[in-house]
Amino acid sequence: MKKLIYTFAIILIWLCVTPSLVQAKENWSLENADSISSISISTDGSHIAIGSLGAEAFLFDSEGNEIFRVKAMNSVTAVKLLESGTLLVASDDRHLYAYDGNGKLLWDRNLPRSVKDVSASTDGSIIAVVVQRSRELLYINASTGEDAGTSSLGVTMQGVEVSPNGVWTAVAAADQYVHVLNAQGSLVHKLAARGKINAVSVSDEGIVVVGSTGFKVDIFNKEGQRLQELSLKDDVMDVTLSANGDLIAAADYSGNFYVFDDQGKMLWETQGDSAGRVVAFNKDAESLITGADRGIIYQFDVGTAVKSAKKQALMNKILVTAGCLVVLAILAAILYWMKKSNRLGVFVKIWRAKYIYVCLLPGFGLLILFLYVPAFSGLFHSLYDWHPGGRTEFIGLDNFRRMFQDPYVGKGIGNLGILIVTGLIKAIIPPLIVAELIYHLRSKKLQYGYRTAFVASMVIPAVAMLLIWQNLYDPNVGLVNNLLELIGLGSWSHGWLGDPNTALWAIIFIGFPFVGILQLLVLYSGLLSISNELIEAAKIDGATLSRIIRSIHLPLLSGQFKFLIILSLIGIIQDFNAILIITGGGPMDSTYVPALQMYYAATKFDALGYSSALGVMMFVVIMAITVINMKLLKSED
Amino acid sequence: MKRRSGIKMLLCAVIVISLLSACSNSNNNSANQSSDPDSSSPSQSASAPVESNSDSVPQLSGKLNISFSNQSQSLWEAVAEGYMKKQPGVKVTVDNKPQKNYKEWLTAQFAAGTPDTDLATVNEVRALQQDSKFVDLYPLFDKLNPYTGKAWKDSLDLEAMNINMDAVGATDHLYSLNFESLQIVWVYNQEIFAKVGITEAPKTFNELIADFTKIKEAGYTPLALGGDANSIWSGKAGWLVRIYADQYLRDYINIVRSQENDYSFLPGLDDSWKYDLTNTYNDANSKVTKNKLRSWKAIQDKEGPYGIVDNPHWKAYAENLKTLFSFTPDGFFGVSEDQAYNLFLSGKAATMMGDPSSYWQLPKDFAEAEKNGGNGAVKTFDYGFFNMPTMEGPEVLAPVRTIQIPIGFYGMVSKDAAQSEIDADFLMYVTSPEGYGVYLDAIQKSSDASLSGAPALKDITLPAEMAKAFASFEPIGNTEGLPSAGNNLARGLMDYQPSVQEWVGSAQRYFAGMITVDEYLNQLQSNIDKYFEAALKQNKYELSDLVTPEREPPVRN
Repeated sequence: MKKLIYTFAIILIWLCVTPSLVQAKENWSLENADSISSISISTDGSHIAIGSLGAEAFLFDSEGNEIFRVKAMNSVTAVKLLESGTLLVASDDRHLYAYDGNGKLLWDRNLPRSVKDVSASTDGSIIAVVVQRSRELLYINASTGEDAGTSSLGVTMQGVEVSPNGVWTAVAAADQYVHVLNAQGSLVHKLAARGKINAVSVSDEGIVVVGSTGFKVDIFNKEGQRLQELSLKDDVMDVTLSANGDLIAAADYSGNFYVFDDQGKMLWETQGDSAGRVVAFNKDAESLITGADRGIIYQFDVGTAVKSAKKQALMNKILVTAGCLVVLAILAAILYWMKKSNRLGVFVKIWRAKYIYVCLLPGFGLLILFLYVPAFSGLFHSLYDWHPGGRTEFIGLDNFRRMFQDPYVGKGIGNLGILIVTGLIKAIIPPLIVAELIYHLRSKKLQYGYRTAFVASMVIPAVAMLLIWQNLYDPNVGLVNNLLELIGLGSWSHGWLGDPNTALWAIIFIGFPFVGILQLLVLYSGLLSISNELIEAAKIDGATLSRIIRSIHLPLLSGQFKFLIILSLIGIIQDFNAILIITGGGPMDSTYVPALQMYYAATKFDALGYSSALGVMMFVVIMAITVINMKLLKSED
Repeated sequence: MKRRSGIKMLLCAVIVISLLSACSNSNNNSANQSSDPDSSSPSQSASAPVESNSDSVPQLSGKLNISFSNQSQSLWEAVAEGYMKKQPGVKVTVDNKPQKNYKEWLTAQFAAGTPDTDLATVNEVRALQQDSKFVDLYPLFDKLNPYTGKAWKDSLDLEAMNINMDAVGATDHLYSLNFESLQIVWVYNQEIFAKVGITEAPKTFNELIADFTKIKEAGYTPLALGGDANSIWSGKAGWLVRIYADQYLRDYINIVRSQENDYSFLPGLDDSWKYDLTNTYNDANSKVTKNKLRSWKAIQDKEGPYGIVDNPHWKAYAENLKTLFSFTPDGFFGVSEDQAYNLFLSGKAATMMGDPSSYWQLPKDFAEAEKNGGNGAVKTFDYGFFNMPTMEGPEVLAPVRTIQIPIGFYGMVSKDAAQSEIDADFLMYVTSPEGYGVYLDAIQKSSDASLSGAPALKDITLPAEMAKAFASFEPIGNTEGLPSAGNNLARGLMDYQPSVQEWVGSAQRYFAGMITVDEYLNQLQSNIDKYFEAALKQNKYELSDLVTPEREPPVRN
């Protein structure tokens, strides 16, 4: 056993001290640190062209030495290196440029709109250009820059990719379809993407890879059938295929770069420092160049990287296996200890009550699913900038810091204090008075009747009651002001909910005369449970009614008080319905409570992490108050 | 014994299955069916012909779930019926929701994954739009509308929609379809006006205030307007705040219009544009393109109308606005939109903000109130309309305009290509003469729906009475949808909700006289400065983008 633990520990230490096996062969950065828009590698891999949103295009050698750079008048949207050494540069300045291998301008084509993408076969026989808002794919003559034809797609395009041999052209259209064209520019088929298309690539064999929103990458064969569906960790920024379609590379917005084989198996993955923008293979897919935000370029040796990734995967397998073995060993040790100390009988007992456990299982399952999981999710996500279905970032205690700087939480705490004090008074005193009155009625029938009458008021929905009260407070036609005028107190009529001095009190007054049904029943049942002998004895001793209430009823109801106080506190801290419906926190921010700000953070501000942090803080406060309450109000039982 | 344990087992199994079945998402079966791209061939997707129809409309199959906000259920059910006759392979389900808490409902739907609904009302969920949760409609406008036989955009009145398709850039998106025009006007109770001796509707702001003074002295509420925290930003008060700011800050266009080297510059349009304040449509999207980054940069630099403190234009505007709001109902800051409307309906208030739909809606509401026995609280009265009275003074740059846009805010939830095709097809049908005919017919039969204005659609013929009524609303220019200082700053920063929250309290304090105009403007400027970076980030921009506003920023998610 000890040996096993030692072995596992050694493996763990070795894995920790071994550096990441996947390392970039080279990396360098553009001077101006602008985001990289495109990469193109020459067929022999000796030259790398980079387009930058900083309005420049660069040509590097394979070691990252700059050969030349050319400027555009606006962002460079795409670059393409041809076999001849010609560099095509597309720009938002509404120009398509062609340069020779020394950076000398060959031609400059002026187009009516921004040139959003350019792609070409390696020999330059097909050069396809996407112009902003155009529904026609434009073909350009490589040597003159003049029009060589068009293909009408009937829909605006986002990007284009021509296979290295020029046989296939894949056009990402804005209607979520990829239009695959042949060398003559005729439509071969349309491929349905699973979202908005972010990137597309096509191989010499007609294999098409489509990256779309929802972190999806789809691989289609040349007949247009979907072969594989891949998932990335974030939104796909770019995809590329090796010329023969064996390998697929992708970049995502979190800066992850991936290499998959054509069966969809991930061969390698690594993470850069900033959002991934583009990926490109050289001709034989020996080398992968990636571009990221802040102008960072990485060059990877694909063979080494894949080999390293395989090693890493093997290590992970060993680690998982070792982990499983350790868990099994621990379980075996526990069982052995139980056997030794003769405690295995517990399993027999469980087996005998198996049906009870099975019946309890769904209840516990649902409880966990709908109560504990959301609660723990809130706790967990309070440390995140949480966007369900989108990007979620760990931000430590920032949400809690924000809470302390949030003036609405500060104001809310003051209001909450007032609401707690008045809420507790409302929750205890009126129901107690009514319970005592009913208790002291002589007729059992009358007791029953009154009790029923009070309980019947429960049928009014809470929201309906709130809306009724809102109308009662209407400053122009509301009953409250009309009543005041009727009894000669017209000067007191007021915009109760429109005045920051009265709005909170108007909300507190809602529900007058505050006879909570639950509270009433709890206290009434408490009174019923008091032994008559005690009361009779007190009466014999000459105790008055008030003395009986003070010295017998109240002490013996302390358990009920404790229960009601805890319940009311939780309810008051969590409740914001009345404020949300009636004032929305106004006027002049006078009725905010922390729970309302939590609700607004979740629903209006799109700040679910912050909302979770507020929820966590409220939980802590409720917990603390409950504990203090439990300590202070000890019942004698 | 064995039988007993068998019964126990059965009982347990039933309990487990019945409880767990409550958690199952049986409703998703259909959604999965329609959203699975694999269920279709690559080239034809879920839109594969099911059976050839008698006409030339390509037949689709699948499901379409509609959940609009504050829309008549019967109206959209009628449209859905009409659509299903054209597309028998598509099952349309309408489940419209009330406006209250719709935003929260829709946000929660997205938070839980992909919503069941395919078409939604999207105007209140700007953050979701920025996260590309809806389909961009611009590219779809280029597609063929099978119900008209021409490109969809050719049957839409794009000018009325304030859309310039030529100027649409790669990062410009349109997530909502708005095809029913709305022009904000004043609605007034003619009987109250006559009673206090006003014979003509006011044309200038000073005339309006003089009339309001008379009305107030006669014991009526001059302006029925909701001013509580829930209404002052999103309600009709918010319209006035933006509309009147526009008069003082029209020179914004010189700052935000696209410059020659900008990515958004459109040759042939922008190079021939001239600044002309006498033309109320001078800054319309069809006349000149705008660079959003320049507007952000102007806010950052407090340039011209984008600087608030010590700006005499802002000060004059805020003072006039406060004067206007002093004629609102008693307890204004606690009055909801519904309560304000009831004041007008019951003849206690003389005016309210409205739109041409009131022309048909008021008689319906009078009849409804009579039917429900309002105890005489609501009595039918003669009502009329007038356009925005224009503010005057040395700081005013141009005559008043109004919010005059098509509304609807129908958005397509971003799903797979096949579902998007069905969504778009339905919207194409609704905007075709045939589909709109069904829509119009259902509106006339409905008790809870009415047209807000002339449809922003071509080839539509309205009934003569409607056409005549709409023609009487004289267009005075539009402020909506422009990146102006008034739209972007007058109600907090760019509708960024934490900023809006702060503005609501600040504005209420100012209108209540608790702070001076200078304090109010200082608070507004501080509010904007405080939230600038966060709002910028929410709009997917970074501070570094503002260094080179001529360049389009990279795509950010």
